[in-house]
Amino acid sequence: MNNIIHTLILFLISILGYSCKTENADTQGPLPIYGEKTIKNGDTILYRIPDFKFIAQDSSPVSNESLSDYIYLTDFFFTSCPSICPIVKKQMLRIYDKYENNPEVKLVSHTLDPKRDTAEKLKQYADKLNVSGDKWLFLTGDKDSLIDMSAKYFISAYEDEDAPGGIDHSGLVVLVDKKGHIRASAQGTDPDDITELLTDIDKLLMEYETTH
Amino acid sequence: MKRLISIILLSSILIAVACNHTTYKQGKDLYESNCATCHMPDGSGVGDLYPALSTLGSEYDYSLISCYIINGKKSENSVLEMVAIKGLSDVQMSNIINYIRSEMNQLEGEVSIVQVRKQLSDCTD
Repeated sequence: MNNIIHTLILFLISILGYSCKTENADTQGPLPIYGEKTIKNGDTILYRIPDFKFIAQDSSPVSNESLSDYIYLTDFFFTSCPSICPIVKKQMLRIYDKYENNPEVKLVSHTLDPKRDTAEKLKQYADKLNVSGDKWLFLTGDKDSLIDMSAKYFISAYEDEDAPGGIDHSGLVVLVDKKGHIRASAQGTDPDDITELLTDIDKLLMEYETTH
Repeated sequence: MKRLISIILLSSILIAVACNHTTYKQGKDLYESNCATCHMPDGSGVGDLYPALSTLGSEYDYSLISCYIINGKKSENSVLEMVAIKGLSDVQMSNIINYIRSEMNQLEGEVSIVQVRKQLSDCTD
């Protein structure tokens, strides 16, 4: 009887081992495309970020079209945010520093407090982060559109009187490819998670190298 | 047997104390709960937005930090304002200051409570 139990346990362990191995093998492949797939006239349509138009820190308009030549990392924040924003910005700076000279990568931070965070204020904020040019865009615009947009990136944000600064939002950093597909995400409050995201960014950049 | 247990207990306490050695334990705890969110747990800050505290160096007048704690600090171009932190005693502030000074900036000696009290009476808004 004991022998049977031992054999069973060994069998289960090998199954577990195998499943772990296949999972590892999957992470070697291309990054997944997140979001719901819809089928229209027999074609599978993958989820992509819907159209948007906001204003950057230099007052220029930014839309899907203006980002179509880039892969970008995006997050939602507000300048007076007293809770998770500083640590998320610290991690975004890590990404910025690594890809500062890579013309294919942009960073896009959306404010959730456009009343206070005007383009001018966002410009000052960028200056204090020692960020110049249009490598890292800080976007402002209509408040409802910005909050709606966060949901399109699967980043939750909503107004909440009890939250620090009056807005509750997650510190997720999302990686978007040149076609507007979401390809990866990481918790901006977790440096280890961002380290993994850096690998995902490299992997996505490789896709463009091989398809050129 | 009792003696052996006492020895083991005593050694574990000694080891635990030695492993958690921080001269300014209260300063570290208060730093982590009041300052680390913006200035980062290691004091490295974020750009010039949240200034680094780990690179203040030996020339910096550390007692000034007490003024920033009680009054907050408005940044030069008004992007962000450091909020005042209420309810800390001068002893607690001294411990935070000395934690920043000795642990983060690796400086010997300390800022005394008397120096902090004097600075507090000279703070300007």
